[in-house]
Amino acid sequence: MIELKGLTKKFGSFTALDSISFSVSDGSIFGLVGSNGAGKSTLLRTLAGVFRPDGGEALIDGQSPFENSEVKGKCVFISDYPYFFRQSTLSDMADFYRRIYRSWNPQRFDQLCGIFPIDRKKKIIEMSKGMQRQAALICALSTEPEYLFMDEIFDGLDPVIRQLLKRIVSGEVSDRNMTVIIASHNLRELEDLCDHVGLLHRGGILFERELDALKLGIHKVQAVFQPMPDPKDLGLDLVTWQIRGSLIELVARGSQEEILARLDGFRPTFAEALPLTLEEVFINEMEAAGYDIDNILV
Amino acid sequence: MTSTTSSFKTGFAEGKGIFLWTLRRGRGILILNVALQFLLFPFLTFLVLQGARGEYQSNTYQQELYTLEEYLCSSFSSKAQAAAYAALLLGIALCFILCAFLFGYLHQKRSVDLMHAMPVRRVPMLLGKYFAGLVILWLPVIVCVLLDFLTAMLMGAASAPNFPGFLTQTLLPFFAWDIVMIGVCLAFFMFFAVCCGTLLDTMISVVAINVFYPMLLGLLWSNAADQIPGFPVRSVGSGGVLDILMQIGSPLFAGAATPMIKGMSLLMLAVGIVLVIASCLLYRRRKSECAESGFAFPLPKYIICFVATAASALLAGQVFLSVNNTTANYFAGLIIGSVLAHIISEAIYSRGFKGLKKSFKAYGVFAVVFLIGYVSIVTGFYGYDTRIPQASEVESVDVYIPTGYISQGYSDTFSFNIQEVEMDSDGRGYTSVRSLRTMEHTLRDPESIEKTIAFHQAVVDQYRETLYPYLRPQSRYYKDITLTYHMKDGSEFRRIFSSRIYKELDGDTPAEQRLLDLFNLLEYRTSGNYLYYVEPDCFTEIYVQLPDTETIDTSLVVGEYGAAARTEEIPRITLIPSREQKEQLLEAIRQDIDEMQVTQADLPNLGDEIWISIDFTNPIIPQGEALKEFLGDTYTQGTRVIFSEGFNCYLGGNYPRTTEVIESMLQDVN
Repeated sequence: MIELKGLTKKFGSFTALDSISFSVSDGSIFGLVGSNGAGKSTLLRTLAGVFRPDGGEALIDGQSPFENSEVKGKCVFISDYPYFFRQSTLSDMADFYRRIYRSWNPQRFDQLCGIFPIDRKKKIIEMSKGMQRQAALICALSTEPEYLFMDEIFDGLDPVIRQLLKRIVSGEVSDRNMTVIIASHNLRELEDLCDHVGLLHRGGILFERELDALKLGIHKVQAVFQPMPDPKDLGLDLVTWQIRGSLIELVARGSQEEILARLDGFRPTFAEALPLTLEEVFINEMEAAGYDIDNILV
Repeated sequence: MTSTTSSFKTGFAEGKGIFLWTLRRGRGILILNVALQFLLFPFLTFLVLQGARGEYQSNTYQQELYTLEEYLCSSFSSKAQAAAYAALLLGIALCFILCAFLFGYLHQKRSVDLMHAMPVRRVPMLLGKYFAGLVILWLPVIVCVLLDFLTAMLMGAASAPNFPGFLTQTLLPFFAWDIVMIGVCLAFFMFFAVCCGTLLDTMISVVAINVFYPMLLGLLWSNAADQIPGFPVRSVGSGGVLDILMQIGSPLFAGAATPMIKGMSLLMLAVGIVLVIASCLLYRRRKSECAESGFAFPLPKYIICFVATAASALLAGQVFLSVNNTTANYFAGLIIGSVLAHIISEAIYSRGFKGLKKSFKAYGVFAVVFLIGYVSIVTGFYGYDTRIPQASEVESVDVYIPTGYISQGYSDTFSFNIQEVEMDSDGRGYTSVRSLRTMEHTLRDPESIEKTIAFHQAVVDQYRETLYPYLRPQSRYYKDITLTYHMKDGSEFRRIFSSRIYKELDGDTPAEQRLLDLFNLLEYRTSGNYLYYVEPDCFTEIYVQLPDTETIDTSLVVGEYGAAARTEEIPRITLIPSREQKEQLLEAIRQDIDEMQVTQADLPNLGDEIWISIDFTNPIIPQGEALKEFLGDTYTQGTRVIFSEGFNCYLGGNYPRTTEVIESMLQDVN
C-alpha cells in the first residue's frame, strides 16, 4: 500500500509538493492528472526514491523508499524520458536490470520481447521515442514489480501499442495484484485504465476519488423546452448549464433517473442523458470548485 | 549487530552488481589500458634489452666495466623508472575519461532518475563504480609490470647481483607510489563529481585546484621567503614540506610534477581513504535534483575560487614587481590580479556574468582574509623575524655562510660531501656513487654558540632597520646564510638570511663585525672542514703553479663556420709525493688554518703566490678515527669513500708551513 502523509517537496524557494495526503491501495491503478508544473513527476520521483521529501512522509508498505533498497526492489519507475546507457541495446539494459533486480524474470522478458515489436540487438539510441518507451516498459515489466510508476507513458506510443500496454498492465494487476500509478495529461487513456484518479494543481491535491464513483454521481442531460424554464427552478443540484435557444445542456449531481424524472415535470419536448467523459467530469468539478479550468488542464 | 551485518551483506551484494556491470561496460577502456601498459612495460623492455645486448657486444669499453648482466640490469633499471613515470601519467590521463564514464550519471537528470530509482543504495553504488574504476586502472599496470619483470628475467637482466636491491629499494616503491597515486587521483575525481552538478564543473574544478593550489602554495612560500627575514626558501621538487602539502591537496599535480618522497605513499593512501569516505558521506546527502545545476555542495566552489583568486593576486603582484620594483606596483598587481581572477572564475562557473554583482560579497571575504594574511607577513609573521633562541637552550648550531672573506685563501666549501663508491671489476675506477654525509660547520662550544647568536641578532637588527615593514617581496636578497640551532629539548630552530643585507652597506656593519668574530673561532674553522678529515691516501698528486708563470698557447681551433678559438694553458708542475710528504703537507695545512686570522682585508696580489691544487677523489678505505667517527653508521665496512671536492689555494702569508712543505717538495724534484 502507498501512503502519502503531508508530503512536501521543495526546490529552493519553490514548493513543488505542498503537504499532500492520500493513499493508494494494493492492486489499484491510480491516474495522476494535472497541468504542467503541477507536481506529478515530482510526486512519482519521490515515490520511486529519487527525491528525498522535505516534509511529511511517502510510505510504501509502511517504509520510506528513499535509500531503501528493500522497498525499491519492489518498485520500478519509468520516467517521462527514460534513460539508457550509451550505445546499449535492449539486451544490454536487460542485463543491467537482471543484475540489480532480484525479481527479474528472464522468461517474462522473452515473452514481452515477443509481444512488442522491438529488436533486442539494435541500439536503443537509434530507436524512435515510442520504441524507446516500449524498451523501458519491457525492462520494467520483466522485473515483475509490485509497484509500477509511469510518467507520461502514453506519450509517443501508437494506438495499437497503447491498447497493448493497457492490456498488459491490467493483466499484471489482476494476476499479481500489482499497484500502478500513472501520471498523464491524456485523460482519455487514463479513463480506460485507471480505477482511481487524483488531480494535482500547484503542488496540492485537489481531489482523489474512485473513477466509478466520480462518474456515478454526476450526469449530463440535454433537453429541449418550449418555453425554457429558469434552470434554478428545475429543482436539481446543478453543476453547470448552457442554454442555446430552446436547448439546454446541463450537468447535475444525482442519479440519472432522478434527474430525468425532475425534467419530465417541466414537460420537455426532448430529454436525453449523455455519457460524461473523464475530461468533462474534471472540468465540471473544477469549475464548481471555482478554478479557471483553462489554467489547470492545458 | 545482526541488522548491521545484514545491511553490510546487502550493501556488498548491491555494490557487487554495480561493480560487475560497470566492469563489463568499461571493458573497452580496460583493454585499451592493457594494450598501452603492455607497450610501456614488457614490449619496450624487450626492445631496450635487445638493443642493450647488441650494444654491449660491440662495445669493448663497456665490457671492461661491466658484465653483461650488470649492463642489462642498468639498462632495465633506467627504462623501468621512466616507464613507471609514464604509467603514472597515463593513469592520471585515464582518470579524466573514467570520471565521465563512472560518475557522469550524477550530472544528468535522466540518468539520475534511472540510477537513483534502482534498488541500490548510494554508497554501494558509488563504491561499486569506484572499485570498478580501480580495476580498470590497476589491473593492466600490475599484470604488465609482472610481465616486465618476467621479460627482464628471461633476458638475463635479473641475474645481476644488484638486481634484488634495485627491485626492492627503487622499483617496487616507485610502482607502489604509482598504484597509490592513481587510486588517489580517481578518488579526487569522484569527490568533485559528487560535489558538482555537471561534468564540466567537475573537470574545471579538478583542473583548477591542481593548477592553482600548488601555484598558491609555491607563491605563498616564495613570497614569505622573500618578505620575512629568516623564512626558509623551498623549491618544488626538493622533497620537503612544500611538496608534501602540494601532494596532499593536488594529487594530479603531485603525480605528474613532484618527486616521490619517502613515506609519502602511506600518507597519500590515507588521503585517498579520506576522499573516498568524504565522497560517500556527501553522496548520501546529495540531492538528486542537483544534476545539471551548478554545485551540489557550494563549499568546494568557494574554496577553488578563493585559491584561484589568491594565486592570481600573488602572481600578478610578482609580475608587476618585476616590471617596476615598487610597493605601489606590487599592490596594483595584487588588486588587479585578484579582481580579474574573481570575475573570470565566477563567469566560468556561472556560465556568464549574471550573478557577478552578488558574487563580490565572496570577493569581500577573500579580500579580508588576504589582508589579514598580508598584514601578518608585513609585520614579521608574529615575531618570526626577530625570534632568536637563548644560548642556554642550544645544544649545537650548524652554520652555513658563504665565505665573503677570502683572506683565508681557499674556498670554504660548505656542505662538502663524502661519498661511498663501488669499484669496477678492474679496481681502477669506480661506478656508482652514494652520498654518505655532508660536512657543515657544527658549533658546540658555548662561546661559539654565543658568537653565532650575536651574529644572528646583528643580522635581524639590520633587516629591521633596512626593510621593516616588509611591504613587498625582496627577491634580490638571495638567501645564502643558514643557521640551524639544535636545541637541548631535541627540537630544531632554523633561520635563513641574505648576506646582502649587510654587505651592500658602506663601512663596517655590526653584522660584519660579528661575522668576523665567528670566522676567527677555532671551532668554526676546524668543524666541518674536510681538511681535518682527509687522509694521505685520498690524493696521489699535487698540482703546483709557480708565481709569474706565463700562459702558453696550446692550439688554435677553427670551428665549422670559420670562427676561431685559441686555447691557453698555464704550465704547472705535478708533484707525486711520498706518504710521509703527504702526511707532512696535511699537517702543515691544518696548523696554518688553526693559527689563521681572518680579516676583511683584500687579498694580496695572488699572482705573486704559489697556487696548489689537490684532488681528494682517490677512493680509500677509511683508516683514521676522525673520519670513521664522522661517517658513523652511514658507512659500510670495507667499502671505499671519496671526498667530493679538492683543495685549491693560493699560499700567501696565511700558509707559512704549507709553503715550506711545498717548496721542499719542489726542491726535491729539481
